[in-house]
Order: sequence, then C-alpha cells, then structure tokens
Amino acid sequence: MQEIKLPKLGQAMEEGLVDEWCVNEGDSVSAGDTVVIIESEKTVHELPADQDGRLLRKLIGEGETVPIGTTLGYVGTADEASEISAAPDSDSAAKTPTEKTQAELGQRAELDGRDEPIKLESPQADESGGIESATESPDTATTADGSINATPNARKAAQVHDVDVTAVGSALGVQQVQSEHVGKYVNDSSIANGGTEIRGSPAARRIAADNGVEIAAVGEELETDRVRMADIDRYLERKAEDSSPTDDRNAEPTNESNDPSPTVHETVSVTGGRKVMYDRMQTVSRDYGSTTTVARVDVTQLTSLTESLKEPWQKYHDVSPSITAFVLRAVAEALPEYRILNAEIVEGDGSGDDPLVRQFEDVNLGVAVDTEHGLLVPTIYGADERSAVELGERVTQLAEQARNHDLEMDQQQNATFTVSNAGTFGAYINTPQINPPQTGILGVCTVNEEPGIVDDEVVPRKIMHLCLTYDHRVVEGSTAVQFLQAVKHRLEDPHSLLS
Amino acid sequence: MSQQVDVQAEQTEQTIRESLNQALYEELERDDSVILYGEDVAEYGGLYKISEGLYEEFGDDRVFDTPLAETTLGGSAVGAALAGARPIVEIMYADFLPIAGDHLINYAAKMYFNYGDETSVPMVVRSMYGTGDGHGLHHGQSPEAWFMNVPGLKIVMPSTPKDYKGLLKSAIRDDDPVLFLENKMRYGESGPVPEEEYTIPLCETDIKRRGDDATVVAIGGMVYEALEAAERLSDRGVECEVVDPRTVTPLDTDPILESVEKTNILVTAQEAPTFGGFGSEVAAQVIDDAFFYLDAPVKRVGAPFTPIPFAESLEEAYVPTAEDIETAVIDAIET
Repeated sequence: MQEIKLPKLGQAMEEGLVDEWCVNEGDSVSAGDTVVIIESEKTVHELPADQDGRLLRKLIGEGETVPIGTTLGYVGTADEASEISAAPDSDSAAKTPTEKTQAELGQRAELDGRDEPIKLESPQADESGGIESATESPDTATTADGSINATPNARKAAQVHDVDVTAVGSALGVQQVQSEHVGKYVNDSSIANGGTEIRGSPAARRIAADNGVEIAAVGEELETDRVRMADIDRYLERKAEDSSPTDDRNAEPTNESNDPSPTVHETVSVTGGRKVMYDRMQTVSRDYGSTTTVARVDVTQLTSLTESLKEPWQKYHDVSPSITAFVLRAVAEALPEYRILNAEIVEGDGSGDDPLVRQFEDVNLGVAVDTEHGLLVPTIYGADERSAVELGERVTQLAEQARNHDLEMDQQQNATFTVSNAGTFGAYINTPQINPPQTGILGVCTVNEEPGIVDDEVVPRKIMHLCLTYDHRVVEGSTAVQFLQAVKHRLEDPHSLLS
Repeated sequence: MSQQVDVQAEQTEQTIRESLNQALYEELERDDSVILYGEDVAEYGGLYKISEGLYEEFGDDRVFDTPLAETTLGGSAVGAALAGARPIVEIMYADFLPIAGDHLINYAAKMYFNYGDETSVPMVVRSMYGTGDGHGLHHGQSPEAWFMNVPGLKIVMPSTPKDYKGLLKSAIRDDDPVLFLENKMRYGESGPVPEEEYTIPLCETDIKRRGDDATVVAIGGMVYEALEAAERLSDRGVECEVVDPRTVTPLDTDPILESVEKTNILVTAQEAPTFGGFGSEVAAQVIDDAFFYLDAPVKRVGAPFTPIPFAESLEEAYVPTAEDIETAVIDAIET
C-alpha cells in the first residue's frame, strides 16, 4: 500500500495546497498515473501512484493547505482498504464508522500519526511537519511566509491558548517563537482584554477551525469568555443575519432603495499562490521600512540599440532584444558594488536579538512574471556572469515556463534581488514591493516619448522611470540612490552593456 | 454457537433472579462439564435464591455446597477448569473476592499467557455487589476497579434481566476466566426476556436509550439510575444517550466514542468510589480518542472516597443516584 504524503519540495517549503485529485476514491490507478496535484510556493507538482491499485482514501480535500509530511491519501489493493483505518493507531481510527468530512478524517489521521514522527532534514521543517500536524488542524496551520518559526512547545502552547504563533512572533518581534513568548503574548492580550481570557471547548475549537472562525471573535461578539459549540453556531447565524440584507435585496428588488450596502458579486478565498502573495505583502507592509527612489532614464540610445540588434539576435539567438534584458544586465553589473541591496534579512537567529543582514556573493535575479494564476518570480542564477543576450534568452524561457505552470521549485528560490517590469502594462511610475527577505526591488516603467534637452536644444527623447524600493531599515538612502544612478548611467551608455 | 437475540421473538416478563436461575439451569443441562458450587448454593438455593432448584435437578455431583473458604473456592475452580470442567463458583459477597484474588489474578488470568499453547481457564466467578441495604462496610462494595487492571480477566456487569441471562450463558461458554458481578439490590428488577434460547456476546457495548444531547455511560445497577435521570432530563428538553458497556474488561470503546462524537458531552456513572474507577478509564479513553468532540468537562458520578457507611442516613447520602446523574448532566451542559 502506498501512503501519499505531502513531500518537501524545497528548503523553504512548509506546507502545500491540494489542488486537484485526479482520480476518485475507489477508482483504479496504474503505477505512474498522477493521483493528486499539489501546489506549493506557487509551483504545481503531480504526485504519482507507485503501484497498480485503487485510490483507497482521500484524506485531504481539494483547496486545503496542510503541512509537509501530512498523509494526503492511500493507494493500494481493495483488500488493503481495511488496513487504512486499522494501521496508524489501533484504537481511534477504526472506531469511527460514522460519516465524516474529509477535513475531519484528515485531522484524525494526523492525530493518529503521532507514533510515527515525520523525519525531515531541517529542524525547522520538522517542527512544522511533525508537531504542527499533530496539534493543529489544517485550517489553523500557520502560514508559511518563512519569517517566523516556532518550537514544538511553542506550537503546543499556542494551540492551547488558541493563538497564532506568527502573531506571537510579530507582536513580540521574535523570529524563533518559544513557549514563554506565547505565555507572554497571551498574558499581554489578557491584560488588553481587561483580564479575561477567552477559551473555547475542544469541540468548539474544532468547529471554529472548520468554519474559519476565531474563538476570540466569537467570545467578544457573544460576550462570553467560555466559547462552546452552540456559541459558534450562534455566532455564524448572527454573521449570516448581518449579511442577509444583501440576499434579501437580491430576492426582493423592491427593498433596494432602503438598503445602501453593496451587492456581493462573488466572494473568493485567497489560496495557493495568491495566499503566498497575501502573506508576503503583509509581512513587508508590517515589518519593512519600504522606501522608493525614482530615476528618470534617457533610453533613446538603448531603444535604437535594441532596434539595431533585433535582426542579429533573432538570427543567431532566436530572441528579441528587450529593455528588460539590458536592465537586468545593468543591475547585475552594479549590484556587486552595493551588496547591501544584494542581501537578505535574518531576524534574530536565536543567538541574540540583533537582526542580521546576509550579503551575497552570487547575484541571482528574480524576475517578476505576470501569469493567469498570479504573479510568479523565477530566478536567473549567476546573472552577473551572463551577457545581455543570455539574460534575454533566460527571461524568455523562464516566462514561458511560468505561464505554463512548469517552474521547478528551485527555479523560484534563492533570488538575491528582484526586477519587476510593470512598464509593459503602461505604468508611468510604479513603486514595487520588496520580495522578502530581500532588501530591494527595481521596478521598470514604461518608455515614453518626451521633449528632452540635448546641447541646449529641445529634441524628442525616449524616457523611462526606474523605481527602486529598498528596505530603509538596513539600506541607507544615499546607497540606494547611488545604486540607482549606477544602473541609470549604464543604461544611458548601453554599448557598455554589450561587453 | 451463540445465537443473536431475535427482536421478533416472544418475550416474557422476568426478574433478574429468574433469568439468572434459568441461565444456570440451561447451561447445566446443556453441558455436563458445567458445575456450580459455593457457600449455600445447593441445598439452600443460594442466599439470594439464584440457584434455587438446581441441586434438586442436577444432584450433588454438579451442584454442591462448600465451607466458608474463598481461597479454596478460587483455587479449586482454577484447577477444575484446567482439568476440563467449566466451574461456576459463587463468592457470596464481592467484598470477599480479594481472598480468592490470588487465584484469579495470578493464576486464572495468567495461564493462557504463561503456557502459550491455548491452555485456557474456562471458569466463572459469580459474585454479588450493591449498596443500599444497610449491610455496612463489608457487604456491598463494587469491586470492578480492583480487578479491572488485570489483563486476562474478563469482568461482566450486566443491568437488565435479558442481559444478565444472555451474558451469563456466554460467560459460562467462554474459555477465559470471567468475573460475573451481580447487583444484589437489583435482583427483583423485571424486564422482557426472550422465551427462546439466546446468548449475548461478551465485550459488546449496548445503547440502552438514544439521545443527542449528552452521553451517560453507566455500568451495572447504575444503568437504571441513568435511565431514570434520562427520563427526568427529557422533561427538561435534554435527551440523554444511555450507554451500557455491560463488559468492563475488555471494554468495547467504539460505541462510547461514537456517542460522544454525536452528543459532545460525557457523564459516567458507577456505584464504586469515583477515584480510580471505571468512569475514570472511560473518561481517559474519550479524552484520548475524541478530545476534539468534547464540548464540556467530563463529569463522573460515583460514590465518595470513603468506605460504605453503616448508618442508614449516611448510606443514603453515599449511594449515587439518578439525581446525581441529572445534576452532572446539567452541570456539563451549563458549564
């Protein structure tokens, strides 16, 4: 029998989303057939059957996010079906013939998994994979924005107090959350709440998690510090009533004039790649000292250069020369002199409270690519060792892979600086957001024809803005401006970039 | 071999006393290797008249009296069982089971594990427990927790006349040593018993009453108290599920968990002191395996942690009742 677990597909991966089950429970599969498609860090992976048989059980439903190591389902022969419930733990799994939702089954399976701790390479992943799966339901699993970790004891304490370790970490400004941090956080919020701590019964907590409801919110709404199952129902009913005017209006248009609240067209949950964006941007806007400086670049020469290179490049390299390729080249050349921008921030690695900035030797450029399934940022490794044409080729290739959802995990990791081109959409000035834990990002804007002055004469010029957003906590303004000027000067003398 | 009870079968109203007497009669008649002995079980017909008429019917080879010597009763039963008989021994009061305890705990329960060759000890020890008749410290204790912790020993504590009969017959036919505990305060309880021959398998939890609001796991005589409490609570709009495990060890836990997963509230009820008792074990298993279904603290109903008082008024206060169960359910719901 094959136990399909969520694999660890990258160093930073802590959880994954079950995108699609390709076969139904009970359907037969052959070795090599894709059974389930998962998504993590914006990359899609197919998990195949390693034997002929049937899909015996799906434990995790589509759209659910679970920690690595979580058992997603089982493939095996029909005879082995009975072993599934009996196998993990003699008692509990076998004794629930009553119908359950997949989420409950998943939760149960994880609870049963206690006896077999999942072995993983890094201690950080072990915590989230092993302990989290044992103590947290998939719905309450903390987000994988990679910036805050917690010890197993801290996660247990967080579970008991029904708080989020990420919230604890950010509230106390620690990256490695320990159980005493949780205690401190809980006490602090108790004080803030006027001394009463809102607790939920085990069943209430399970149902709250199933419904994506916070116990604290229920307690506050219903003015109780002991939340029971019935309270969750009451809370959900109240929320439904709150939003019901919209429904009433849909049903009875005559009421329309009385009800000013907007009609809901659609409510969409933020999952997968969009959830990654949600978490990262939240981290950046909350924690980073993001500041943007803008340079006005005269790209008249550059555009005529790319125009003249069109034929030879297409002929010899099968790639069109682009502004982006030259910007990448200019950035890759300039970055080694401004290593603080080719860096990542390591907050409190456990040895002390001082944050660290890790400045890299390698220049790996992330290139933002807009796709129909969200913004992806593939990485060009060793960008400083590639020519403009090579960079152009690489960008074309990676963008195509990104659009086809075909990027490998390591093709989306390890970038040391990011370049984002919103100019293709016509942005005049666009301030990009840093991709954490990096310290800077360069936004490339659209090229406009504007009057310029050359030798005291007003002449038409091609002008483009470059917007550098940097983390002002670690990058000084002068450094950022100098770096941007270095990029600007190279682009205004584009032949230097052909070397 | 065991025959499931057919719900369509004809039933007659019988007391527990009558159904037990019938069970013994049927098994003595069915199998020559079954013997019944103990203090006053033969000529007197048993102190509580459970074995009345059996001595006359089967003679003193099969049904006989013994001296007041529980050690010998226990030891001889283990020996007889090993030699091929199916002895049924009566230890008149469960309070004195510890005197036979060495034979039960260290011999009867261990033989199968000691020899590993299917050696079995098919013996039944019938014994009476039950508080409320003013018998004082030594004639009414509930002993299940004393023996619950012994692997290899089955403990049966039925509640209704039908269960008593069907389970005693299964216990006699079982190849393992079985401690069969009878509540002496409930021998007069009557209920429907199938006319046709039947057995009820050991180790099967029974649901005595369906309900969605709270689970009451009651054992032995407390099942009656739980049912009474359930009726009263029903008047207040609370529907209890009364779960009767019937066999204490090995415990059939699944139906208990399923019930708690439905009701989200657990109350246990036993006559013995609460501390270290059957209810504590049920509570622990539910917390282990159905924690995320609990919506209230688990409440255990049982006696206080003190010997049974002799004074009538104190004994009355000591014995757990339907009111105690009712209060516990309400406490859990209104926590």
